[in-house]
Amino acid sequence: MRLLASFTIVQRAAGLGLVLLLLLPALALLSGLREAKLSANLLELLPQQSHSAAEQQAITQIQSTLHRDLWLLLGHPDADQLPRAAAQLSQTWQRSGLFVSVEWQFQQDLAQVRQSLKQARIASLPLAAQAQLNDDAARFIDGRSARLLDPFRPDLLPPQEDWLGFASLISANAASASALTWQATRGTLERHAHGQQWLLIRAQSLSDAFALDTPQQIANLLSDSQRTLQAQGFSLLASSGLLHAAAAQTQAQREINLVGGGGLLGIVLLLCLSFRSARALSALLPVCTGMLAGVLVSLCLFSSVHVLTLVLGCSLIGVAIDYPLHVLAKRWQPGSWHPEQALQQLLPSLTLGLLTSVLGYLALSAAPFPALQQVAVFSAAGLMAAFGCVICVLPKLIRALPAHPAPALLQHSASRWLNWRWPRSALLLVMLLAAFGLPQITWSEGLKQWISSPAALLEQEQAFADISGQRPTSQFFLLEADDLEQLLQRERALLEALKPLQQAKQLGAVLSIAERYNSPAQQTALQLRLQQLAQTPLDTPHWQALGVSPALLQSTLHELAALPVLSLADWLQSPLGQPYQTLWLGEQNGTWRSIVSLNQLQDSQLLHALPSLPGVRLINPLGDVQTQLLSARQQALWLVLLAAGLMLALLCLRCGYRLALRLAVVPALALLLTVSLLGLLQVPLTLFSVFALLLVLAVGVDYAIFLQQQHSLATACGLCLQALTTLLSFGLLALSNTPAISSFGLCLALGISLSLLLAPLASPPTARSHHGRT
Amino acid sequence: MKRRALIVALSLAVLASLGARANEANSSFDLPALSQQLQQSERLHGQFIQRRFLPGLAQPLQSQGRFVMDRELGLLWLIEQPWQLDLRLNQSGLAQQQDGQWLAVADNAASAQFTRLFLSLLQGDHQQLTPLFDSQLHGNREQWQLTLQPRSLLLKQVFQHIVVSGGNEIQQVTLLESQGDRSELLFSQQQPNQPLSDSERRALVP
Repeated sequence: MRLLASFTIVQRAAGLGLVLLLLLPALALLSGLREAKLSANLLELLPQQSHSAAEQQAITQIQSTLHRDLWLLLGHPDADQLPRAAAQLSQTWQRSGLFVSVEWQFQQDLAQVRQSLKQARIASLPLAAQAQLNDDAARFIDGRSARLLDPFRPDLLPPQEDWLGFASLISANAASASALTWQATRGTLERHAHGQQWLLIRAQSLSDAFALDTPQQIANLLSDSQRTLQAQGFSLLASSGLLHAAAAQTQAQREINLVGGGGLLGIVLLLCLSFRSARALSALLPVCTGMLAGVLVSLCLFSSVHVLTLVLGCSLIGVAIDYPLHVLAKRWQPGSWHPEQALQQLLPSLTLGLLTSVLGYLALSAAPFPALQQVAVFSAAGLMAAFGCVICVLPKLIRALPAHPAPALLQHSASRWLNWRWPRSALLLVMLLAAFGLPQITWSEGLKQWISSPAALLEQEQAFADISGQRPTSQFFLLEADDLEQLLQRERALLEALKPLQQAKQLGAVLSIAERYNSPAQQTALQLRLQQLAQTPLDTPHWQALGVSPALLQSTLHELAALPVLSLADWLQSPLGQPYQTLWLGEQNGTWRSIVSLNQLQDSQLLHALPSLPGVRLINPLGDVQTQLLSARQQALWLVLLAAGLMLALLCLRCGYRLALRLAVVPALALLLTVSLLGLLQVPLTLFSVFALLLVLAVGVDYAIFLQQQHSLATACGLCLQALTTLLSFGLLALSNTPAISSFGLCLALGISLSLLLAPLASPPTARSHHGRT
Repeated sequence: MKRRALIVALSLAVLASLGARANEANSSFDLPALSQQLQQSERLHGQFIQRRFLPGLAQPLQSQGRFVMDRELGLLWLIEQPWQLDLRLNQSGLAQQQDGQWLAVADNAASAQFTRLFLSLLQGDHQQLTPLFDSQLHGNREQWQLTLQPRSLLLKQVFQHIVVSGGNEIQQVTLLESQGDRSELLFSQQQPNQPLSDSERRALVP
């Protein structure tokens, strides 16, 4: 009767599991409907910054180009070889269908450039020239005659259209921002460096760095082109966020194969060896179901799933296999074997285990880290699906299996483990390890833990930056003001404050609108000044020596003064202003905003040391990741202590404080030794190691309770097997190239091994003698 | 007797073939040959006059002075009239002398390319010129005229054409710019392979 009742419980549970499983196709449909992206964007992993809407808009605007643009430098010792090779390359790339445009010739239409220069002679006149016009106009104007004697520098505008050569002052000012110079005979941007002539090519990708296939396709195309061109004696350097995305994806792919494939392979081997039946492989079904559910639920809940989530998620294999292993291990018990019966015995503890695990993961998702949230959701969903599969499908699959003792080797090791007694001298070893290890613990927090771009890619980027002078820093300035006038004034004040850094070679080019565009009020003031100069007789001996009359100069000044005031919108549309469009945010609710961006910054601390200027804010999209990570780590450490305290209290309540302390010794020593060993190994601890310690704590207590209370060989065998699978999958994580993931894996692998080794400390004194007798 | 006749006939034949070869060389006076002719001297001293005819001015702008072109070291362009202005053109670009110091002139992004073009013109460097211009060469070694038409769309927007003429050395360069200006450079009193004076050496040798 009782047996019947519990069977109905199992059947009901199976029904529940079936419902869980039936949810899967629905999830698949839903995730298919949503166009989820696989992301390799570092920013999405890190804590969400509390950026205002304006800041967020600025960040998006700045990054949209970074994530789409690919810059190339084509080099060859013979400059004349470049145009043909560049044309060929751009043709090949265009044909790939991956790009909106591949340009190597810029500003081909000189007539348009000339027209826009002519119109902007007041609006874009450099500040230095304005100062000279105000302070010593006659000398400045007379000095502008020297250009006409020099046959080597044809101006873009002919002298009769621009006697004072304002247009050439503007184009020289524009050219000073880049290390590359515009070659008017070819329309290219080039530079001679390291014994080669380099030509700039810009490719704009059709989709951004977070699309699934594009980065990889582009990286492949690039390496193909590099190989072909190198064979012909050319060099090709590239710089783009797309390449980092591709590298991250490739690496994640490799690691998913390693962690997932390696984990599965290991588990298949273990299953075959320990159960001696191919049918035991059906234990893999819940694992696969769990992984599938994890991916589907993540795709449904998050707009993009990060590649690192998948890498971490792969380690779920080692955890999800525990449920079927529990059931299968019952086969090793002497007597008859009945899967449903085994499940019925296990159901309460399995359910409790699932609940605590899921709750634990959900607690993890409360951390302000999108990365951890994704891993938590992935794991919780995966565990639930695996559980569902175990209770409703697994028993039917393994019903035909006969009862069978565990393999001799496993039995042997499990029994040694069960009966192992640590000698007192081991305590000395622990103390020694701790004494040497603990002082050597180092903490390392920061972006470096998350980025693991290949060295070759970074070298290439450095070479590109050295030659082109282009290396945009992630930090930029956001400026706000009540009107355009004030905004441009603030930009100029900022430029002034940044000058010492540039002179000290700590900072490269600074891009700002104010440096190229004079506000309408400034333009009006210039017009007035020019008008005034046109009406006063000026001493211009050099012009007279050339045969240019003062009257001609005066009419030129009049003509300049009569140029219409150029609005910012018109200037931004002109060939001169187009490159600055990304810096312009516009007006919103009476606040005007713009961006000042930086290149080749040596040390970001220098920016924090700048005096604070009104309306100027330094924006760091990567955020104060450092401080955020540190405070998160602090919280996580408290969480570990809190969890430890709670566990101890619970144990005290249930088994009394003497036994509770005895049990607590296992996780406490495991934690201590893990940390000491990491110190000795010179592996820095990170926030992720703290989360790993939390898991070690839980596992350690688990093993201790088991050895204390369930002293049977068959279950010891099962536990050993579970520990092996868990170790396998987390241990594989330690091989990851991403330091944060590898330190998580290493810490867990060490901690679980140590917990396993130390667990016999908790076995009851009587147990040993009892087992010794039997 | 017979033998003597043979020798005469043979030498006549040799002479004839030599003459034929000389004729051939004259008729195939092409750009490479001109290049070779212009590049014979390692160094050239001389005088120049530059005139710029601008639509807005009744009189052309005129400057004159002397120049030193050294195949290895570069070009010194020493303007004496209407006022003194010393320019130097070499691998590192254009520089101007101010208070005894040579300061790099970098006020036009396009200038680096043009200075190279200018040097190629003066040195008759056909390998540099051929990719940029279609050329037509008339005349012979003693008196020739080279007309250069820009090939690229971009260069067409700068020059209509360039005419270079001369004999053993370049005598005149005329640049007809697309926007209606015309520049003339006249060279005279050219002396090949003269030693550099002290001040010239100081200016040219880095």
